[in-house]
Amino acid sequence: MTAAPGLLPSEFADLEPFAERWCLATEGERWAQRHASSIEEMREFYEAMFPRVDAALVYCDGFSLDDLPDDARNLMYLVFSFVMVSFPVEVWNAPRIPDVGDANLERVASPFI
Amino acid sequence: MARFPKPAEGSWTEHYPELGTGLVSYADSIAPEFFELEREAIFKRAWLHVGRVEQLPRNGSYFTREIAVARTSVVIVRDGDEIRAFHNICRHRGNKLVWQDFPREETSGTARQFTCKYHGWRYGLDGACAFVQQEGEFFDLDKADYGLVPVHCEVWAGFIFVNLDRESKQPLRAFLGPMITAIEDFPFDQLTARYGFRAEVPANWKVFMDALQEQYHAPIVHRSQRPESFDAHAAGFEAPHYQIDGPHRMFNSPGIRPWELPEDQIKASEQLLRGGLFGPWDPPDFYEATQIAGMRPGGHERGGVALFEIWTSFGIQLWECGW
Repeated sequence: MTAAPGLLPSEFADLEPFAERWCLATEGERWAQRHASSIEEMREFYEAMFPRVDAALVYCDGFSLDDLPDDARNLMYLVFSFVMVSFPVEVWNAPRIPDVGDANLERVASPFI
Repeated sequence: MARFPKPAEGSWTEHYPELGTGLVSYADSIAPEFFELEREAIFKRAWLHVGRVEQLPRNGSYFTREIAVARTSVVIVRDGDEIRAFHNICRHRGNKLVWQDFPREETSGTARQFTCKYHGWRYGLDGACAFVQQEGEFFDLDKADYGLVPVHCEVWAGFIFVNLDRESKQPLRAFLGPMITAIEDFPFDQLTARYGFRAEVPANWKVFMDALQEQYHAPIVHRSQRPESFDAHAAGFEAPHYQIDGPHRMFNSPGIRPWELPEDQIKASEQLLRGGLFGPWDPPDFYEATQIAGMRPGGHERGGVALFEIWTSFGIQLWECGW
């Protein structure tokens, strides 16, 4: 019996528990996931990612953007999600910004990725 | 103790005596009747920033802008070396000309000519009416009279501006004036990673623009966006320089360099990623080209961010680190 392949490169198998939730392709999805998560869930993800971010960036830098294999692309999305949760974890201690109500900022254009 | 010298008059407000020091009413930002006047008197007559030349890379490249404040739609198109703007409306019976699926949404693309989806009238990139279906069924129709109505369109430093006023206006560069044109050599065209954001802010446009130009709110509203220890460092807000020139304004913020701050004043992720709210710490490879004199009109050394607000509502922020 073979194990199902993960979303991430095998050397990042330690982050696989977070992959399904946080390997999200668009900022809109990552924003929504932030708001759908508890601060404890985000902190757990943040603390697992923090020591691995450098290695993840080195790994992804081994490919050109035009030529990213799926597992490297997922790893890149995981780093983006790390950035998305960093504010709640480091500053607000909550998914939402205080006093913001239903104000919303939508990203309507971005470069290649 | 003040961190930066004040002008000789005592305050920046007094340095520009035309401002006066009396109370300023904000009735002009809450009265609906006033806004209706602004639509006509300001937004239908001012130079409005609508985009950048990189959005029009090829002959026939176009994009539309829904200018809600002026209740109009404009199509901007590259016709060879020229960038032209037209009212986005067919000359036949006023149907919207350039749109895709949802008429009220902006669109972009490339075209050899524009075709109205209603009766098939066609217009060249120069706006001329090129084709009328069953032309012979009309009486005394001269297509030359039915080109798209042009909108004044000029480019400055790669930024595209339009002016909805029918009469020929002050040329764009004269309107911008020396304080703004002093930054035109900034290498805007080298900033090729372009992000766009959209938000609906239920406030008068002037309130929004004021929020960026004043920093009085910064230690209060943005307090909890930084580690606590940073606040002790930045009590109140002072800036080295403020300047106005006609209807335009700018200021320089203090030169906070995140990478020089003690560890406990920067977020951990910012140190890890060597970048944060104010962009990457590492300068772009064209850094030298970004350090133009015009971004520090007061001549002081460290710039932090230089924010220029071009009337009516176009802000340009130039960061010391080159972004």
